[in-house]
Amino acid sequence: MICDQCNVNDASIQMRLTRNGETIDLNLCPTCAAKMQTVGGALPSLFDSFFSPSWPSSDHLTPAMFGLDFDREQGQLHRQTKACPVCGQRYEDFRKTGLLGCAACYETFKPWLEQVLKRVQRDTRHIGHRPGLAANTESSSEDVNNKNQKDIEGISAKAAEPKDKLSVLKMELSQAVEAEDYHRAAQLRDQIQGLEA
Amino acid sequence: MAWYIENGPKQETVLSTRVRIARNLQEMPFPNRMNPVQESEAEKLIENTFLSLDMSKPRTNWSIVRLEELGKMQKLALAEKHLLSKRMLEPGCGKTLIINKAENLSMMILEEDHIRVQAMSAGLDLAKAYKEATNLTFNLEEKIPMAWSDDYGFLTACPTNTGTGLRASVMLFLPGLIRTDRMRYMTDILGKAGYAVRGSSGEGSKIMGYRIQISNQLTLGLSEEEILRDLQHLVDNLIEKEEESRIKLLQADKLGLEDKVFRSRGILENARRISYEEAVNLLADLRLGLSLGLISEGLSLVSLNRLDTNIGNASLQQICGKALIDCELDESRARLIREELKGPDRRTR
Ligand SMILES: [Zn+2]
Ligand SMILES: [Zn+2]
Repeated sequence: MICDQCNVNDASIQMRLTRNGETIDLNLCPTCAAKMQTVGGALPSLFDSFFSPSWPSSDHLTPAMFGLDFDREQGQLHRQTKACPVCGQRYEDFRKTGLLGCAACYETFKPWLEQVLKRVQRDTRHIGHRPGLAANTESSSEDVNNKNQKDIEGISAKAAEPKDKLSVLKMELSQAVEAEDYHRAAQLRDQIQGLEA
Repeated sequence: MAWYIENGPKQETVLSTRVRIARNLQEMPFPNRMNPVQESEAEKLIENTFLSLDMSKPRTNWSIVRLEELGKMQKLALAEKHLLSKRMLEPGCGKTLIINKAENLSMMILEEDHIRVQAMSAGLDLAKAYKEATNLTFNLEEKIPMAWSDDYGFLTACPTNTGTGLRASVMLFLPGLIRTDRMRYMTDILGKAGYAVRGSSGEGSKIMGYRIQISNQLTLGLSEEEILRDLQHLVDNLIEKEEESRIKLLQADKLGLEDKVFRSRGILENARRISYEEAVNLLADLRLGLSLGLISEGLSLVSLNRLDTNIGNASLQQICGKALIDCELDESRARLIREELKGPDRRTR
């Protein structure tokens, strides 16, 4: 089993964390477990990652990504008996493997899935391309290529836009704060305020 | 020349770019729920559809590889070139791999998803890799109905890929940020911003040769263009920081850095046995030395790119044409490196 915190090392230690009445069981590697013990609840970033929405550091779902609300809100029995009418995947299979069995599973497990998506994705609704975008016209692939080419050329141009500039500055600000470079942090803060105004 | 030996844009900091797109057939369960009949049906459908596309011609430009017919070593060699995922090394996972001649465009059939198209390019070139991957994907979408929902977009077996099914990643060479210990902060920030930061061989691998792979984790709720633009923007930012850090390293102790680079070169040019890890780390010193202009004579980025590709255990055995045991591997690796670093002029002597 892989460590729930770093997703890199083998987990050999089980740990139960409780905060504000919420409990989660974690499988940790010795390094992460040691960190967890020395900081107790004091280092928020490490601890919070299990209690607040956090992006996955893995391409696959780990137990932590299913979250606590997820388990508490849904009735145990209902969950156990729930199976996809099309492919037969059960909720328990999904929970265990992190995988859905077919397209219909997205409907079958919708309430739980939405919880997972909230944790691991930016949003729960797709805003990207639709299938067969290329199928509309005869010389379609070329059009699509051109379209994509144009979209992509926008990448570097847009990088200089204020909104992006803002995120760079914010990133630098958090670095400066972390490095305790308060002079630089103050400069950055002013620049950010200037842009946000 | 294979794509991974060529030099690409921003090659001094970005070694390669990879774009992967996941798709599934509408009418079939995902691979984890398929029976053998469905598997062979899906496999045939995808392969035949591909072969009906104009882009698959001439047929000699493409290899169709049946994974079950490959030995372990052949599979590992493909994995070292990032053409197979680690998962596909396990028996029963993944059926067929279709690869073009230049090895920059490939399609895995029946891995975690039915279809995973992958395009790679040297240096930093998200636009090129994305264009090539979507070209194949769109062509397939025209012929096969893909699993799709208006809410969730393209549906994948794992919810971490759903939506766009798009994973873009860059392999970065960050000696400056790592040696000045700034990468730790960056990793933290990147993680919070929705990016995965990994060692060079993907999930679970450790950092060697100052190589770090960064990829988008979010595939739903953003458009393809936003995903690529954000990553581009992030990488541009990292490149700038890396360049600053390299200059800082140089200013802090130029002679010390030179000493390290030349010692590494000395070992590489003279070692009789060398492990993969040691070789990767020492070659990284040469790459850094080259980018800072500390060494140039008789050394080229192309040589380093070629070595990076060839010194992996499986690739090495393919070059030698036979299975090698540990000490033979280290011996052949050392020989290959000595030959390459001698350079063409010095080689003739
Ligand atoms: Zn760990
Ligand atoms: Zn299903």
